[in-house]
Amino acid sequence: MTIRVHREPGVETLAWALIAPAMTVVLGLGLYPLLYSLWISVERVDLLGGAPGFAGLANYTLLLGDPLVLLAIWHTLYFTVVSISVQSVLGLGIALVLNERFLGRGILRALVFLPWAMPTVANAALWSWIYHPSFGVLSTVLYKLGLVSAPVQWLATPYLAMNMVILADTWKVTPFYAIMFLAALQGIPEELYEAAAIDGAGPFRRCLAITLPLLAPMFLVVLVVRTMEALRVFDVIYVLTGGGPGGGTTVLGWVAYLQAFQNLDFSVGAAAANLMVIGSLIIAWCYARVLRRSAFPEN
Amino acid sequence: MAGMITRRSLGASGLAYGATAAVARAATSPKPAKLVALVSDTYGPWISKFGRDWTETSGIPVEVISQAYDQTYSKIVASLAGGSPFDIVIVDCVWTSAFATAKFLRPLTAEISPFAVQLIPAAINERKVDGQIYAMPLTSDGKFFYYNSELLQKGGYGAPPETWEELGQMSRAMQQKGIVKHGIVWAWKQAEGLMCDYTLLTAGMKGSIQDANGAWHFQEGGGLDALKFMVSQLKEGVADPASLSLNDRQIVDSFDGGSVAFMLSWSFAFSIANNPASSPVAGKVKMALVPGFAAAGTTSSTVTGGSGLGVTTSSKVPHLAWDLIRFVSDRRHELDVMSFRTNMPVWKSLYNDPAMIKAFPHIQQMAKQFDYAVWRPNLPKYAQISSILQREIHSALSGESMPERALAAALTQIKAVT
Repeated sequence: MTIRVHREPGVETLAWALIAPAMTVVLGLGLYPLLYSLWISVERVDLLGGAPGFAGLANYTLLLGDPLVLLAIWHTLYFTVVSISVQSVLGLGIALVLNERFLGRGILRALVFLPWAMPTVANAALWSWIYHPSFGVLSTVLYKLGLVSAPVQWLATPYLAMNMVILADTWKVTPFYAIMFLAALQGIPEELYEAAAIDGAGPFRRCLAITLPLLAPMFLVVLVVRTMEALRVFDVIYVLTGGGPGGGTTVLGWVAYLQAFQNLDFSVGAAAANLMVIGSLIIAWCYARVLRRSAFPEN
Repeated sequence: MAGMITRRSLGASGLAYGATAAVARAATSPKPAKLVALVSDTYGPWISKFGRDWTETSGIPVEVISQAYDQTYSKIVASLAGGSPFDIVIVDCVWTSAFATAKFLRPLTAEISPFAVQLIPAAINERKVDGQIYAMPLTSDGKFFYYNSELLQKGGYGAPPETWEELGQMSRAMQQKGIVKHGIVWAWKQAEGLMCDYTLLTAGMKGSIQDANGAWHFQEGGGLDALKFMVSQLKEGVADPASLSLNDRQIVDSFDGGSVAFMLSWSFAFSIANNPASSPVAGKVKMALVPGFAAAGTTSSTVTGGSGLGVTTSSKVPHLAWDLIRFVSDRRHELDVMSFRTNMPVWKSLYNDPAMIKAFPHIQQMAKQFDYAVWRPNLPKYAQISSILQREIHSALSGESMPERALAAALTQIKAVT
């Protein structure tokens, strides 16, 4: 039996009226720049010469034909996959611990969230001091532990620098995973665990059979949000390495910045930025297809 | 007789023009709320001070916005391309061509030409693009060689090295004696400072980045030898390995720590290193000629720097902006400027001024260094070219790539964009 809801006249109008201000802000501050950026990416807007005009997809083919841009795309994917993998595992671990009852849990939950409250630039500046090649505290700690004999040059070689950038980002961002997973964990009824325990399931089996499947919808949300953010990474690289060393941390966001603000070629910069948008959309669509099926099997 | 121009009609029309012009000027250019200047942080403090002095006579407040050098270029580009209301921007010598081509700056040829001959040639030539002058020179600068005299004395050396080969020997000897951890600290982070050092060393090896016809030469001869020398500095341990992550401003802190004997840096380093309030090595830091290469038979080499102030095309009061620039760059202020940061004046007469020499004896040492100065290419696409070279050179320095391959790769990329 379907239930028809009797709506009073004017409720719908009121609904639209109430969301109109938010819609204006979203459309004005979000949609307009996005469309403008798409527009200049198919034009030629180069402040250092080059006749202005319509360029079609020329800017995109220029980028995708440049091996350094392809390398930047690889760096971006590496950053995204590694950070999300590490952060998911850490975040889930922290959430599982914070879900247990122990003394000081409330304070610890607040403290764990503190790095998330820092601006990304402040976080990057903090880590640039931790990684300082002569006075950095990370080298000092390892030295005192006897693991190294001289200060480590964390940001001097490409591969190591990329992983150090991931570490700096992880410290700031993992609380987000922890809080989201904790919220989801708290929604799982205790009775399920008790029933499973009665049926003879050990803690590991309970985790696999109950916790992870019920966490999947939240995991999808976190994955989509964090993938978008990781693909867009810029400020931590700007402050820590400036795209170096030897171009080792140059990601697509950095390419967009260089093209626009160093080379004064705004259309190619916009094209690079839009490549990130397109990439994010494709990945989000894939996530929705794959994970929604497993998260919401009855649909 | 109807159309004849008579003296009376000329006079009348002249009066009319003058009257309308005055009215128009009064109507269209009211006093601005303030003038805004965008500069880098080694210039901010004293431009602010002179700005305040100017405000006392003009009645218009001056706002000075400053940030680190490495962030200034992109901030200027983002602001001016977006139409931000800056009246004055700092123009580093290598930015002049790009800013002029992108139409960020008004030509100041008419304002500067009357006294251009009183400025040192290096300062005025670097501000010219297609025959027009785009910025008022403010400072002339170069990379200078600093050494810690106390550490050298401990090592038994009475004088600083005259060649890079000698520096290597001195460093190794002092390292063995435990007097220093490393001989020299360089500013070899992937940033503009790296390009400056490379240019300077290429000149020392009798090479060049580009010739007068625009052909590129950095990938061979002196340019290749310079990169090989830089790689050997790190490999042999003469240079502090931290050099790969430090920029021009940061190495001064490392040098001030007292565990490194030599440093190459700009003029601002002199005042910072000798400031007793913040530097542990104050009073021990001396300047000498940048070493040459015995292998190439050169005495010394350095690269020019220095900045000027330009008036933006978006400024609504260019005449007031120019007035402030003229005030700030006046030679009477040079002594004040020197107390904030030690640099080379742009006015010829100041080099022989007794008061200047008495207050700042190093000025003659710096002038001597300028006899061996080379310029970085002043091209519209300089930022992109420099970025390509920085990346490839840094690859070679960190061992990711061989010097020949790195420079060959840079050449291919540079040719593709120029």
